[in-house]
Amino acid sequence: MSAIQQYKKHNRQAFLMVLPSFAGLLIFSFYTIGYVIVLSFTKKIGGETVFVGIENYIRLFSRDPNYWTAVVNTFIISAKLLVELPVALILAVLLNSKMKSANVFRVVIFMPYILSPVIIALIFSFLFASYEGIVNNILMMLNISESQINWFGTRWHSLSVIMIASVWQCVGINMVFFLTALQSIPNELYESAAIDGANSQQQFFRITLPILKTMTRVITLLAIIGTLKSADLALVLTNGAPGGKSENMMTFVFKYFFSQGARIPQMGYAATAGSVSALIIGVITVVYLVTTKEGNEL
Amino acid sequence: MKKIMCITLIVFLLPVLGIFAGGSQEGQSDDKTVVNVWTRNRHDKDLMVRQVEKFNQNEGKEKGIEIDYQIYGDDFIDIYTIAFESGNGPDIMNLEESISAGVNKGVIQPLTSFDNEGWVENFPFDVDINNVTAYQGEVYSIPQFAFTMRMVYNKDLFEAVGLDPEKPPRTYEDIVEYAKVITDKSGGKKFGVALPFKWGEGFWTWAGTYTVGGGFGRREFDYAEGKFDFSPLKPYTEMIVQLKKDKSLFPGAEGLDNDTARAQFAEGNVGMMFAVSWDVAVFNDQFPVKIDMGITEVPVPEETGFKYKSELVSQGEWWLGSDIPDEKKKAVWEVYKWLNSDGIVTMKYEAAKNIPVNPTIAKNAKAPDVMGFAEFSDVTNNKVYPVVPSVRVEGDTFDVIFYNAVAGEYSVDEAVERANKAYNAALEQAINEGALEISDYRIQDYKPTLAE
Repeated sequence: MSAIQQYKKHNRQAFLMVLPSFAGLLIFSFYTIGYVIVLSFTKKIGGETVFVGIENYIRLFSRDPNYWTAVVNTFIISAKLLVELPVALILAVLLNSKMKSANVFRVVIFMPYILSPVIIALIFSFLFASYEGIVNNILMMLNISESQINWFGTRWHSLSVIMIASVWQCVGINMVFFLTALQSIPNELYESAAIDGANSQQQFFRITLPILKTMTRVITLLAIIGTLKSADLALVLTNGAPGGKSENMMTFVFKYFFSQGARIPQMGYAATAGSVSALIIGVITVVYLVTTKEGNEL
Repeated sequence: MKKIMCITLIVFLLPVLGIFAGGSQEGQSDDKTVVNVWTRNRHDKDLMVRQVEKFNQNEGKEKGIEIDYQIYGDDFIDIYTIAFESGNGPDIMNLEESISAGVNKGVIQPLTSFDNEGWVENFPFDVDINNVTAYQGEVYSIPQFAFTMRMVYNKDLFEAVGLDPEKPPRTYEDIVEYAKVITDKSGGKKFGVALPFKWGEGFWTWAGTYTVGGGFGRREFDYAEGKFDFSPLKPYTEMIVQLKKDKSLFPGAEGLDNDTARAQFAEGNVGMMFAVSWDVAVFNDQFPVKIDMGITEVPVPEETGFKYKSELVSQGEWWLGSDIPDEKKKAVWEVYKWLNSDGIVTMKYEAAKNIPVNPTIAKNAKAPDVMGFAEFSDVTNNKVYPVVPSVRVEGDTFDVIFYNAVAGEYSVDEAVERANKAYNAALEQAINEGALEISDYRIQDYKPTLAE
């Protein structure tokens, strides 16, 4: 068999092996993305889907302040990462030491992540209930608040509760990511540093943090994307209360896609909002990757 | 392509339908005519299966008719659509879509060609409700059963704060006054009214728009003018604004869902609540009430009083399939009349399965042995309203618009204005696009029925 024939045979085998995954990607990613984009240029009129050009996009960009409030809310909610990631790192460092019951703590902290977001939302809606809610009762018991706080009565209160619930839900998985990265750092580095007289603080800032940089970049990226496209938690926890003020990008899309309250589904428009939201997330991802590229070369 | 897919689906689904239908798709056997009745009503399954058996053994045997009664699941709409495409549709069925969709799809036919004896005209209540049971002047079904709205109140709490438990609120002003008394005298532990806003229930349909008809004879759509007019929601919204100002609303209405509100009512922490007839089951089984629960007609604004019959939410129960052969027509009509007979309707009421639209049924029947069901079933002062057009509105829907007025973002008048503007713009667009015909909804000589 000639070299060319052998090359072709190998190529054929490789192609056959890649085919199932590629077919899956084609059907479940490219086709659905394409379908949503096509849908975003349509509108349902009397049961018929009609092509309306860029009408939905004009509406979104020029006549729908609610969507842009939802975008701003999404960014505000993302600010929770400023707390979530450092806390996850601190927990990972603590649980990476040879402390007793470390495994128990790992499991307990990771557990919220395996709970359904709907359950978490229900738990937090009970915790922050305005009537006999646990949080309100504790605040009043400690004399921090004189009366029951209406946690879903203003935009900022609602967004705060979403952020708190989201941190509780996601800190565990980020801790596990950091823990994995920490455990991959060779012990010899710390032993050598110790011989050279470095204390544990110096070891953390001079060895641990620089080595974690690459992993931190990935963890942060995943956390940003996860936060920007989160819908279920906010939907069940506040459902946009009060009066749609705590809506985020994905709950906005959800409510136009499916019938919700007095809203009749507008799938074409939902697809438009979904496509623009995907674009926003994509741009943020690229900007993040570009701006953090330099520090990644360690 | 669509046709090929439909045929493929039919080929694969027909055997399944055959299995579930017990292989009894034949229209006529030697000595009897089989009438196929398809339903998705599972709540009255035992009762109806027993009645059908009785019919087949007695009345049916005498007349040479056998009912084949089939109960389907959530995919009922697909099942009957496919069946009709293949010419195997049922003779009588429930319709799982709007009357206009059913007519345009060609799955139903009017009662006219079957009714030679003025059966439809002789009903003791209005059966030709535009876009509900009647379409373009033809009656397609009888609105036999309905959902009703009432106000439930805590008699024990009324008594404890010095209110007369036998004098429930009659007006919005009464609600505000009683709620303040309840809240003030309960030391912040119990509250006048619970309104769940979390999923829009505070304004959306059941607790909101469906309840305002008693004072206005309509809700957000002005049938005579053929356009939206949300002004009937103004007094209702002003009542909520006042309740909020008085702090008599159950705390955290914005984050309150209906289940929590009902659970708090059942526990005795709430004085009054708007409720729908299905809440009877909730207060009996899901959150059994620990209080003496009173039930009264939904209050109205003082300035209008109970001027009109308030809304009864209903739809046609049984519909005639479009594929009935001439030789079966007589038998099908017999079964159709039997299904709509007072006997069957009364039986369903007495078993607490359905609320009859005909007020005389509940009056003459034995009261069902389910707490609260009889009170929700007295429909003397309720009436099925013509349908309101569904439009795809841009921006906030009316529930959000009116909630924002309650939150103080703008006045109630402005909320009415905003809602009118948004919904009429959407209506105009729908008309221009040909998505709806305003003549289907506009009733120039619309006169709401006066309350008794």
